[in-house]
Amino acid sequence: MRNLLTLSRRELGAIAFAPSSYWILGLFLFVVAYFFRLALVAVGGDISQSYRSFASVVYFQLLLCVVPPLLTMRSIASERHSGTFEMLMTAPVTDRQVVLSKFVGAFAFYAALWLPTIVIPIALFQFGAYPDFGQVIAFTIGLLGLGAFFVSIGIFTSSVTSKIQAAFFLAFVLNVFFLFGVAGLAWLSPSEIVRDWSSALIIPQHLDEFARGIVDVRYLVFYVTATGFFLFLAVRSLESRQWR
Amino acid sequence: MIDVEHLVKRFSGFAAVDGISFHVPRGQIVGFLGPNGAGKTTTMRILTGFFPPTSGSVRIDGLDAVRDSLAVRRRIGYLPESVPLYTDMRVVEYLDFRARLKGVRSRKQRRDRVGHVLDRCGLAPMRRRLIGQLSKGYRQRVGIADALVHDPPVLILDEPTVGLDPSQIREIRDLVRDLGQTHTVMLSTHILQEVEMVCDRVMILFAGKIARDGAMEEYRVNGALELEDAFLRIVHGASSASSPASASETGTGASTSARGGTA
Repeated sequence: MRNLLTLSRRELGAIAFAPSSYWILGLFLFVVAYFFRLALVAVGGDISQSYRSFASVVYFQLLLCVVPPLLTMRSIASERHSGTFEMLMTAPVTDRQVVLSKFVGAFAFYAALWLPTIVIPIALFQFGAYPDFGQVIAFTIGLLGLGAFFVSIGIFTSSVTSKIQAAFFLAFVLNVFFLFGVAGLAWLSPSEIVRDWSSALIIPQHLDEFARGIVDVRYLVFYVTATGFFLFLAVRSLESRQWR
Repeated sequence: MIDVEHLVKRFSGFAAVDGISFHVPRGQIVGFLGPNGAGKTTTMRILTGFFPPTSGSVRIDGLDAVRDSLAVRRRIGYLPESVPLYTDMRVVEYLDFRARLKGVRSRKQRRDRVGHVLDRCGLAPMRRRLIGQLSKGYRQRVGIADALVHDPPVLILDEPTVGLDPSQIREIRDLVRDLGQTHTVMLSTHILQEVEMVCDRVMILFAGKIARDGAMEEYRVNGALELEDAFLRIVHGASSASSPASASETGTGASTSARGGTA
């Protein structure tokens, strides 16, 4: 536990002190603010509809696919690339602690990216529009759950390569697959059973429900399970140095 | 302190370490010699628990390096070959982080240990510097300070003086000799002079096997140290019978040692 804390702090520090993180923050806030405004206008200023409208914007969904890999691509790949991996793995720490700390650090930064967006409901409030805070909270929970899932994918891809660009690209492709590809599968599949099962995994639909203020625990369970699965794969990938 | 038995490490069929056994008692400084690719780094990585051997066993302080890997790692200070460090951290911050990882729990203890190794390695004036801004020599010292920070009984140093200027080499050499009084030290190097000046015992590795292992005195012929001859005999004796590729490799080893000699 102590090691986990020490390592996570170091990881968060590494992200927080990298200049590129602030480019990411800037891009992120710009896209969120810009498209939220568009979404708000598109529904004629109806606040309760604006979150749903915003959640359905493809550029926003793409942003969700891009940002987590930007935060995670360096996590393990750059340690391998620069050789610090050897320093890390010859310290008395387990592979699991390393992977988990990388996850915690990147996820903490991802969560922090959302903090400034609190000004959006506050600003709406100032202008006399009353957003439903339950709705805001539900949407935030959904975004954090999905974020955890995508961060874990990024940690995994960063663990399989020493090339940062490859780690980014692979994670991005996986994210796009989970966000858009599964929906495609669900709609296109001729098999009733596949359609039925995969329809529960359509993330844009999850986002829509979260944006309506509904927290469906099944979706959260799905995110948590998937996160655990990809982190498990990352641990295996670190362990692979033992049987290679 | 270090017990190695029938150690084998294969990488996709190729035996990088091919059945070596040795025993290092407490307080000895052992020099690990051999041309590039002889298996020095691989052996050291197994000792430090970076990866397990294909077969054979390693015991450090009576603990198995595979089964009690974490406990073994706590007892070892390791300086990897190229001294990889987090360049975005400050020296003192990095050492504190490493000390914490290596189980120096209390804040006071950590402050003492970090202060101690900073002094010991001549890093005190650089404590607030970013590691990325340090010269090669200082980075090397940070690496050594890192190896020492949790006060381990065993030190494993992979080419601790490579890339340093002559005065830095002397400083590190003196430091290692000094550490040898209280620690068990294993160091690898291409510089034969260094081995002569620092080590109690020399092991020459060649093609994954121990070609020769003996106390420093055993390399003396008629009072003169014949380490270079012994080294070249082993390397050339084997390479004349093998491929030209390995001959060129031994050439590098020999020229490095010659450069080391002038240093």
